[in-house]
Amino acid sequence: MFNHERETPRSSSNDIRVVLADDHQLFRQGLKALLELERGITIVGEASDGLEVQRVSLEQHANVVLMDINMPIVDGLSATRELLRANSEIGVIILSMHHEEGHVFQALRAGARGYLLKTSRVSEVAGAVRAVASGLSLLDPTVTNSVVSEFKRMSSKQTPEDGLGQLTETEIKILQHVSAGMSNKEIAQKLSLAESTVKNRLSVLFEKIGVLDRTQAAIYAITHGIAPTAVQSR
Amino acid sequence: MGSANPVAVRIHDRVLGLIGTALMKAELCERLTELGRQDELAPTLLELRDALNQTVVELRGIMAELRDAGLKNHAA
Repeated sequence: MFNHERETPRSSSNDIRVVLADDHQLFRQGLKALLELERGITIVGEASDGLEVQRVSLEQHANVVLMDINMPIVDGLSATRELLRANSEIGVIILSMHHEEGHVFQALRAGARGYLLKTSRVSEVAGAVRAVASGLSLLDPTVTNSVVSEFKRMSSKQTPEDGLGQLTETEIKILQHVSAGMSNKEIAQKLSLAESTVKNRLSVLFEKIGVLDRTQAAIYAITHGIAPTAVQSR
Repeated sequence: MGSANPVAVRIHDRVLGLIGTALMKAELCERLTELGRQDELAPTLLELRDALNQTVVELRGIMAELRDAGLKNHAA
């Protein structure tokens, strides 16, 4: 009837070492009691603010930290950044009531590898702890939708990277020659085109990759790895 | 995140926090029952009741604040 992993909890040296950080003591107590019923997970410490969690996690050699966002002294997002600066091996899972996408993105930018809502069942929290401890990332299905929407929004925006995909073969060659310092006349000779054609093609090219002049175009070519090798290594 | 409405902050920080705690306690009761540890249920149920009682107190406070604010706006 039970999930085998949850039936007979025993702590061992191979257990995932977890620290709980939340300023609501009752919530921490409940979560601790439930996670202690899980096999392979040991709660090695608790913290009620963003400063304490950094100290406890480092002292207790935590593998995973379950972190609230709203905490006194230092909030959970800043604590995540600081903690990961001290030890990037620790997996931080944000466990919050905030489902707004802004919080999710801030958490991911801070380096969190998981984001769950406090309404999640503990089997889901335990699953996330195991996933993050093994190097994976995990998001609550409720917030995944906002992340996917944001990704779609960003993908639909015109960016220089998008522009690169729109360039024709000839335009890429023109860009390479521009980055090599060649004039329009030299490029025209090299590609057997009229100088006016090169000039027109360049205007279109600038617009596609979102630059204003030859210098910016050359920098774009170098930073996007399409400049000739000699130029890139310069 | 910008400056949030104080009532929204209070609902989030206090009310939702308490509901999260209540959900956690309810799940603990469920697990203890599954594991045949009924003797541990009573204190957990009391904590669950406490969390729900505190939620009611918080909500009453917020409703009173909103009512007062509504009356002030009406009078203005």
